[in-house]
Amino acid sequence: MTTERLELTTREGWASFVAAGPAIPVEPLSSDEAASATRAQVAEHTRQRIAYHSSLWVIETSPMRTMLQSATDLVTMNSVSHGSPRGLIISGEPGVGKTTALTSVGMKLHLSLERNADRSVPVIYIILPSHCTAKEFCQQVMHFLALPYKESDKPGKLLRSIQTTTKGAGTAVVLVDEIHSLSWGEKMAQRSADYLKYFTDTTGLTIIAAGVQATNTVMITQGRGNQIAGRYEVISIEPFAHTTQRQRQTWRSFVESFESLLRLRDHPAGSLQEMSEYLHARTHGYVGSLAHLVQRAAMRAITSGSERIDRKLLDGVPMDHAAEQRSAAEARSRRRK
Amino acid sequence: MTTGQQRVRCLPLTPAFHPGEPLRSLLLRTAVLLGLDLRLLCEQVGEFDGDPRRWPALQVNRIGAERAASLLAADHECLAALVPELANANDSGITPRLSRRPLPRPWFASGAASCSDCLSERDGAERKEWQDPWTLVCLDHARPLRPGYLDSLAGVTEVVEAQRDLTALAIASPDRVSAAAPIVWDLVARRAHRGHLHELAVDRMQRAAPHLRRNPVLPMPPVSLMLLPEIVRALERAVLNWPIWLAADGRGSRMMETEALRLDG
Repeated sequence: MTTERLELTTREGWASFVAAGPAIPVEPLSSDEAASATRAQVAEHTRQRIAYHSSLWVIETSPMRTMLQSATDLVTMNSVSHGSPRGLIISGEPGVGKTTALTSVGMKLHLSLERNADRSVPVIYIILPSHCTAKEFCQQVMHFLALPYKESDKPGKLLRSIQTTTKGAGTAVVLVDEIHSLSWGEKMAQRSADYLKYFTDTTGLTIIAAGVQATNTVMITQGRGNQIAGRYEVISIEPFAHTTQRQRQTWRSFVESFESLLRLRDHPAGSLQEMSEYLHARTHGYVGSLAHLVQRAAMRAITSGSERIDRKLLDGVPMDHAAEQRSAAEARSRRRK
Repeated sequence: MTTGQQRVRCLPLTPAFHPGEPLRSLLLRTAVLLGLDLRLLCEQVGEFDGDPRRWPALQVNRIGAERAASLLAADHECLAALVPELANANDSGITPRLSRRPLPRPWFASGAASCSDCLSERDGAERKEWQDPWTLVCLDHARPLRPGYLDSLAGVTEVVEAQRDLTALAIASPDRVSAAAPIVWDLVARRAHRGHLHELAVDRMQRAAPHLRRNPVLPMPPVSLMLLPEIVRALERAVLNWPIWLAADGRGSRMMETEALRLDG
């Protein structure tokens, strides 16, 4: 049976994401189970294992704990304060796990808010399109809520509906992914900054946003962007470094946590951890790259029947383009030295 | 296999349904609850073009397009049949949640007469019998219905904004409206003759005041088609000397006889 994949940027898609929770591990069949299962049952089980090894794995890192704490504090503060609501921005390079952190924090907030009060839509999740205007920002929120609107509707009209509906639905948080898309050119960036403030002032919602190097965007650094800078906490997510002993240990622990999620029959525990230096050299400490490398290797181990990940298998997995570029740059730098 | 059909999405909130509430009233309260333009919501619902596939809350995929169409056509009976369908839907992800919050006041009356006590007790939900021109008194509260077309709630609907002046005139100056009755009657008849929307209005007018005289030669003011039912209802109330009828059942005949006598006399 296949299940329909729902957009995360819709109310029903987000609700289904929260209800599903973290991926449930699918253990490999024992030799007895495999012997008694039909071919169709084995094929279905293999499909489920591959689906598990392709799902989003969330490792709670120190920045993520800080994020959740800050977000919880801000939502509580904003719900009782009459001042301008404050928000949180998660900033970092592509591939460091901003979206994973944002959705994970959002999921926890959703569950906590739902538990404490009768809220039908506690959290809204939107992804901003490129060169996003104030109107498009509101349209994304309307789309999430399944509220009808016309293309010609002005932002003020959309905002009125958002304000009324979110109040009735007990909404407290808007998760905004790709917040950097609001900043394009100085003039528009200032309007975006103004609008973002107006949006939160009007609706009273807490914005938790993620974006590529969001702290450097003109929306925050220039002109009236100070208004945003003064109201938003910024948490930066960096790729794992591998220079000092302490950094190497942190990376090794992270790899260990990642490895513990694998469900391969013949994979020796701790073998990935032993390769942590190699893994850092290939991924440069980017969570997204590590997930890609290990999960793809796991899929190959399942389909080939080897049921283990070793260096040879990892060598055969191509990395994403950004990781390859970083490796090439590092190699050039070493040659020059 | 892809069917090419879009997933039906539901509105995030709907007001709690009250028995005997007409579709239009529920739509209006939904619009208030969600801060939406009523006309846009009606278009989505398909009230204007009769296409139920465009009503997000209808859950056409659950109840079937044919049944949805018949429900919509039934209008008054529509919600009584529809709401249990929604309540029974167990997929919380795509089912609209009933709002437990009271609507902001003052309520907006959709065009029918109303009883403010009933509105207060029913969170703004109207009663379908208020739409009948012969219902003049609230039996529950023993008081005449308020002609109340225009309790306003800012920004609910542009349509109603446009109706405000004309219907307010109808309420404020019944004499002028009475004088204009033959004009409007003629206009309604002519529209109906061309196959426009208002057969129902004409039918009701004929039943309510069969002896009203027609004057076919007077020039017509520019009146929107959408305003006609409202004006006709205002005229009915103004012309028919409304506070005379108390019964809830078997209504209409006695009033028509009375009015026929009065108009003939």
